[in-house]
Amino acid sequence: MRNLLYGEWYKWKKNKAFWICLLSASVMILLVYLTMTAAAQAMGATGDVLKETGISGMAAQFAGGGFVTMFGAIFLCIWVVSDYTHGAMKNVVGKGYSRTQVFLAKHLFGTVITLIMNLIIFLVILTIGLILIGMPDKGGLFFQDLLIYFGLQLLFGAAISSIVIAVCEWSRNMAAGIGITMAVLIFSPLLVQGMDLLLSVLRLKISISRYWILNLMADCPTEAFPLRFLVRGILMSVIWTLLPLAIGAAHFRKTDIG
Amino acid sequence: MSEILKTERLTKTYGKSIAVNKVSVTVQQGDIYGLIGKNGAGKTTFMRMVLGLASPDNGQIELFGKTDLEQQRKHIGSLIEEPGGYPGISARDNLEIIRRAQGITDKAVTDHMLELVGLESAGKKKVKNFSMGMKQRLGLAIALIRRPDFLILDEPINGLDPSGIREIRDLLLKLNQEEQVTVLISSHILGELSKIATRYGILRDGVLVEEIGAKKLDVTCRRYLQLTVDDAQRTAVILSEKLGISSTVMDSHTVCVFEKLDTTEEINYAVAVSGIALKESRFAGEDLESYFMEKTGVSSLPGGGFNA
Repeated sequence: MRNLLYGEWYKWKKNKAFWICLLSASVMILLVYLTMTAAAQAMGATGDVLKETGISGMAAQFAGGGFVTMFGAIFLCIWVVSDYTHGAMKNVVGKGYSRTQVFLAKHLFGTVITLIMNLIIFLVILTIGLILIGMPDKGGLFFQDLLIYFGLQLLFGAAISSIVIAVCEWSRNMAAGIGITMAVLIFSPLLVQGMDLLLSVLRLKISISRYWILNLMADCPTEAFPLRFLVRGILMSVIWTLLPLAIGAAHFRKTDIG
Repeated sequence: MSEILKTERLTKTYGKSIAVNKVSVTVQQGDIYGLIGKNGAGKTTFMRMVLGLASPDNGQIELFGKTDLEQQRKHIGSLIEEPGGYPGISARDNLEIIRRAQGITDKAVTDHMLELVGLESAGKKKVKNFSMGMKQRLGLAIALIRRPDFLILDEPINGLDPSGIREIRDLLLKLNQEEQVTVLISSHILGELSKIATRYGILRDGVLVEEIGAKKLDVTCRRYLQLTVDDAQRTAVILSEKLGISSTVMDSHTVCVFEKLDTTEEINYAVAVSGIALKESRFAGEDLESYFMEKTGVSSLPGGGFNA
């Protein structure tokens, strides 16, 4: 297992996809910040949009809106599917490791490296925000709240990474992997809300969106975190991390390697 | 001599189609076992099952006399279909990933492998810029990186130029003879396969139709002159005494001559003038290609898509 992770580490060092995705996300964040700064200046005395939104608001826009996740998911798709499309999986499967070990190593490394990407993007959001908006009045409390917010988003990000890895392992095709992943990221929150509506019409008191990871990500508050939300968020993150992991591992164990 | 690979009634189906049908094969230590069959005969599927890349629907596999396959597969090097490597990085980095993932501590092995397969000058070149032959060489380097006891190679000389084919052939022979590496190989270039294989397994529609040793195959495929006479024993003596030709008496009326086949007139004359009734003199036997084509079920070479 350690050797497999060691191999993954070397592969990551030589892989440009991580840096391309990270750079793209950072540039887009900077552009959004700059556009809003320009808009604020153009509006003059009528109001500073950026200041009103604040760093927490911007973080909620980028992270809660799925923007950060999307870049991580694209990187993960490329990372996972490339093992299959280029036949490299053959070089580790059947070389003294069990299928479960191979899948776990790839899953673990993919998840960790995506979370590192997310973390760097959060730091970019914070740094640019501090430069363009300045230090918020709340001071230390602001950083504490932001730390909790980013921590929760990282937990949700781990669950999403797990789902993306399972989707890519199942599809083993770049177009399908990215396509299905994007469909899940973009449409599933709406779909789940629609289901909530349907259930309420049917007078069933079940709200699926409270348990779906992408809705939790979007609904995550940036301050005054309710305990119920924290518990539900952490629990759902664990469930949505472990469930795709188990399904992906089971599929990987059974399926032939091309 | 120990068994390196033994399969018992190994079977794999894809939907309703049976890719490999109850194949029982034994590869002995030191063998270079040539697996032959046309496209879709089940060669690659068979190899993939042995390597653990595909799971059998039925049957058993033993590697090195043991059934804990995951552990035993550590001792196998393989090249199945196209070589597995990341196109965006160099050959050296591809090997380095595998060296680390397979827990090989000797750092020099990467460069040694590149040198062994003739890629030392292309080690820094990205794999996406490699020719087919270079990719095959990289695949061989990947297969050999762990110094395996057993090599499984599926079409390893695909895309190689004649000198490359010769290099790989010499390398395989060297590994087999000097380091006792056992080889299971498929190749559609029968002439090349016949230069190294010590045993053959012929697959047809997923079924193993024949296992044959190279020596037996040599005899089977040899062209010879078949003489039908009234006294076979006397004919053999006359050929030996008068022409110095050794022959094989098949039965009381049949003698087979395997040498000096360009002197058939002299042979016929020597027999006839000795008072032996020569009823028939004809060439028999078949060449390697037609033998395999008959066994694998390919009727003609042009357009037949023969693939060993």
